[in-house]
Amino acid sequence: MTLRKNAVRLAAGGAVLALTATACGGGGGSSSSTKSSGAPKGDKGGTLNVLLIADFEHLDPQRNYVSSALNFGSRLLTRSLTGYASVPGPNGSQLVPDLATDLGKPSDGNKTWTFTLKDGVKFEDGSAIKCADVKYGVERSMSDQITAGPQYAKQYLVGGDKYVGPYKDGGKGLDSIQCTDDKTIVFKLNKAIGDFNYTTSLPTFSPVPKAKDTNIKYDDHPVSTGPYKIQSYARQKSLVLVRNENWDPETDTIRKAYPDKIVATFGLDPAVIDQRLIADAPQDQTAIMLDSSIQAENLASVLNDPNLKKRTAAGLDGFVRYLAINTVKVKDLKVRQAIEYAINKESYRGTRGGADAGDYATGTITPVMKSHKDFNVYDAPPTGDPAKAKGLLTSANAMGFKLKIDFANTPTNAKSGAAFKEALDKAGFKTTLNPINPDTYYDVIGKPKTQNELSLAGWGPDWPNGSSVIPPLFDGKQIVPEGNQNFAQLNDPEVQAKIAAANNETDLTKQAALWGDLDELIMQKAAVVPLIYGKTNQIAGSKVKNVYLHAFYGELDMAALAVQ
Amino acid sequence: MSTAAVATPEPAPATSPRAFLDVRDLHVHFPTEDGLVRAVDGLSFSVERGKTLGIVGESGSGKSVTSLSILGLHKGTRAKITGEIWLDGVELVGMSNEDVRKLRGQQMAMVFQDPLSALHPFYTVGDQIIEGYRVHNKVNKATARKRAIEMLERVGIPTPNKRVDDYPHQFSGGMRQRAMIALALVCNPQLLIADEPTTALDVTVQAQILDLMKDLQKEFNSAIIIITHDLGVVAEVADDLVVMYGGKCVEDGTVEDIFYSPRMPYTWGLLSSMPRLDRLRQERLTPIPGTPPSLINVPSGCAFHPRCSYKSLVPGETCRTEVPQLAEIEGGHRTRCHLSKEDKERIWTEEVKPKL
Amino acid sequence: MFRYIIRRLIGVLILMVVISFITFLLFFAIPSNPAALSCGKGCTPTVIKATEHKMGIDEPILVQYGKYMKGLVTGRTFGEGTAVNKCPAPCLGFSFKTDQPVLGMITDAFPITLSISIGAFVLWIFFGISTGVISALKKGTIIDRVTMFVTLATVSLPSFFTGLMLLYFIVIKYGLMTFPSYVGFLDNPYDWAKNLLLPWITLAFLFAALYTRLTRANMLETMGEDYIRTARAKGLSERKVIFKHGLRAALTPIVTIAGLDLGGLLGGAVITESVFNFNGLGRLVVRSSTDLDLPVLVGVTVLAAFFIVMLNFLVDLLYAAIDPRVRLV
Repeated sequence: MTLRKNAVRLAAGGAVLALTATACGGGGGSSSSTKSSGAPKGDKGGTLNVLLIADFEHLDPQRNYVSSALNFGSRLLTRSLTGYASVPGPNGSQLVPDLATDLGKPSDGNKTWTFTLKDGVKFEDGSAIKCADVKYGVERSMSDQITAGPQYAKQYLVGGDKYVGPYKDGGKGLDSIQCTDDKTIVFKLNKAIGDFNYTTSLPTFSPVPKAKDTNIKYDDHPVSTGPYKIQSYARQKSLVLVRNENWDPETDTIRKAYPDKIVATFGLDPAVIDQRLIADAPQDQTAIMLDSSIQAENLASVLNDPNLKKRTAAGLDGFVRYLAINTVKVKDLKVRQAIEYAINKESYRGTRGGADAGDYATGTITPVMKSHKDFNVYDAPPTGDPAKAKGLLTSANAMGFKLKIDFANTPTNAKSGAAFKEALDKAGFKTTLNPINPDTYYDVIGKPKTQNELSLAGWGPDWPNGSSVIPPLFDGKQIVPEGNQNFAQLNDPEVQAKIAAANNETDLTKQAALWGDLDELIMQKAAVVPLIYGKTNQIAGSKVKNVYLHAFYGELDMAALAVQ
Repeated sequence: MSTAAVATPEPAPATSPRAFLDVRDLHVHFPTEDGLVRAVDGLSFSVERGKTLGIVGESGSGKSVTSLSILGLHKGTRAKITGEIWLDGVELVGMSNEDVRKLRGQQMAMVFQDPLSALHPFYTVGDQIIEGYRVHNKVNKATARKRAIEMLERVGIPTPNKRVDDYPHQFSGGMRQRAMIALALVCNPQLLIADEPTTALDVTVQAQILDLMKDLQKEFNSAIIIITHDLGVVAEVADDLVVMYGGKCVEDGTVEDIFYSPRMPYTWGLLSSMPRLDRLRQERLTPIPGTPPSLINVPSGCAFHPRCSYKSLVPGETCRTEVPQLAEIEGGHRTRCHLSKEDKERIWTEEVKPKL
Repeated sequence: MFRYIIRRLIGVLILMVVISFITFLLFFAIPSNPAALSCGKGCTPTVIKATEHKMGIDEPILVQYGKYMKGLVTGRTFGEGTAVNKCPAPCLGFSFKTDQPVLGMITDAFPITLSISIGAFVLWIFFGISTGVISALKKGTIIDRVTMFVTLATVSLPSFFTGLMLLYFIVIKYGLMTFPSYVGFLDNPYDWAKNLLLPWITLAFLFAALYTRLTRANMLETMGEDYIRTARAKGLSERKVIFKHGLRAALTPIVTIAGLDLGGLLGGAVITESVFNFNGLGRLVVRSSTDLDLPVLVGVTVLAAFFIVMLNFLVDLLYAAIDPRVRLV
């Protein structure tokens, strides 16, 4: 067990093998970039202290994949082709160009994507960022030595699955990444992907200068392309960032880069982080938490104190928690619908800490995403509707239907499991619980053959679009014998056709609407019981400004924070 | 005696008729949670230089407490001591702890029962003797060491210049007791108290130690108090005897008085329970029936009465109700017993003596 | 004596080998796969395989253990091609988690643990023994009773509680000190001590109470010994009786326990290090076990065991020096 949020996130997301998006696409980047609002001069300067439970998993851009590291690395050090605006509220999940001049131009039926690098973008040593550096970075991500990062390049690029990475390719490189000149990069995809520009927001698509690549040691000092560079990095102890003089704010619409220096301290107890920030002693007035949230025991007192509440950012953490219904084992739609009505979301949420733990979920796409659609297919109170569930069961002639619930055996999950059992039994099911070792939980339920009727899971998307939720969780083509993530084992032609259509839509606004419709359709098919959209609360010292939770990262926005 | 810069107590007036050591009406009481322990209750005796006093009695009769009181080792504890202890004309009970400390080891010294536990296991025998010498004599280490070797030689330790650096556990039992005696005598004390000095030793070594003590007494002309439960030991070395029971003296006199004409049932009991080496016993050893009295609830009247076989010879309940006085029989021989002088003499000659 | 030392040292060596082997075995009894953990969210079976190979955990335990031991003596080379990682002897391998050399991680962490342990040790020995002696000499008085009550309460206080309380009141609430962070002794001895003060107090608090009770009990026992009576009968001053004759004997058993306690701490003062965010060996071992970081785990475990065994050995030598009755054979 670990208390670390990013580890929790990792476990919740499971091994996101996301063999996503088939389909085809078209259309170009339609988003308008958010101009950095001319911040008052007074916000510049100072040192921001970041108090963390644990060291970042990886800051090497091609290995960076978990929340706090993603936020810290992408927002301060390693720029990618696209990124997300640094604004409060749902607009934070707005896709904007970063190193690229626009959101990319698809062609060839969405199978070719072309990006142009901005002028004046440089590495921390002053050398200009060229197409070859981006190409090299992406190639790196495909090496089996550069582990832990997203594998989208390998999955999406022509020949990616066979490519061994730049260390073993004899200098040949991958042909499906082409540099027509120093500024223009072309990706040849093995299938049509209408929103490939979301994928390019991942730091997988960050440039790496080949001459500076130190393989696994690159983690200790990734060459910066962002507003800060690493001054010193003592792994698992502390990290000091100072301004990167070769970063030109004119080329960057995302990062505000207010503080002169950022000092991250790792290895703090989450209770200590809370206490220090609450107490707001002089040295902690410019500090924030990043990979922890306000602990349950402190939350009420913080939110009830107006002075503390002022310094607190509350919001959704980007996760949806759900109970997958194995549609292979529970074939009858009426029985699945009975489950939807039977589940008592209130008692479930109670086991996670009540209203502070999250908002009741009605679908799997969280409200911070543009693709979220407001609907409530099963209009039952949060406590469930056992009478209606019983009625459905009776009409399906399935009273006493046997259910087995898989869950990772943690104390909290055990309580949640008991709550599920109580509600389901009340509605006429015969429920048994199947606690599984948390370390191997996703391996176990990732085998469709042995998976039980219900499985407790969570999902945090890799980018704020339905394409990172619906296809990995509900695309029947992605059911694999091991490492499966379609825990509902939904293999529905209608859903698959609509997934293909959505993937093929290059107008991101239109695409978003399609995902929202799909979310609702899947609910009608009762493949999943959405439980809550996770919530989190983070607090900052009294001299920290721009304290808000970023819609996509679900944490304080590293790109916007300032100290007085 | 050394002329060390130790504050010499006020000398006794020349006219004082006091004995060298004179204990008068000594009481030592310990308040405890269970009640007041009357360890010593009105004890008086005296010893002259060159003489040896034996104090005998069962365990718990107050022998050892008496000796520790003389050395002032109860000072600063919860023990309540009243009465007088005069040593060479100086009263010790009322003296400050610090003043008594200066006399300890110097004027009066003590040999303890079990030399293995009485010697510090972490220091060499020599170091412990040297330390004792240097407390009272301002000399350098080398001189003190020479003195220690001299003392070890004097008490009969072979190759003392080597053994001086040995630890107590490297000595045999007898040698340890010799070393203990050397430690006690290193400052030429005028009073030596030996508390069960031979109990832990085997019989042949016992005799050697007793001989050694006699020799040393002649040489230093010191007064010796031997505390023991073993009448054989006192018969060997003592001039006078005090028999203690329940914190009180029940019979005292010369060794001859007590061995040849004892006049107290407890003393008879002690003699009857003593094995004899000089001749064949007539009958089996007779232990004294019963157990020693509790010092918290001392039996009323004569403390010995619950165990006494002759109390019926005393009219009425006198033995149970009245504490007998320590009364003189003849020439300094005193007993604390209600039996009539005639009964005492008759019982001794007719009943007790023949069975010994 | 010389032969005794040699024999004991050989014993220590054998024990180290056994402990490292057991740590290896225990590690592989865990069902989780460190390669899968390290490879994280974006993982495929091929990548796991490659990672296992890089970590060297795709081989049988005995082979792995053999390579580990060989690396310790002759050094090792990990990986191949462009990803070669040379590890000179004594090679403890590279961390699965951060790819840092384990030896370096340990040598970084050790001074911190050493500083915490030694400082706390001095504090608790001083306060524990002195209050223990006072309490024993004043047995039954109000001083004794208060001391015994306080120590009983203190012994029952877990160090994370003490530590957090100190942090809360001294640093957070009243701001009397800044939040401690380790400064090397050689860099600035004053800052070193200043920053370590709270951890020292935290750790010493717990142990001092134990040592007070222990000293008191031993002292009471010793002061009742016959040789103390002898010392008094010699006419020694009470000070000499207490300190030269009483304390010396009373401290002997404490030496043993102090040695073991110090040895245990040198392996890492886990809770104190965690509360004050000092990256010593204790945190290293906790972190490495949650991260399934075998090389670090084995390295720290063996080192911790080494300290315990060595201090045990030193205690035996010391004991023989203190108590002449003890013979080393």
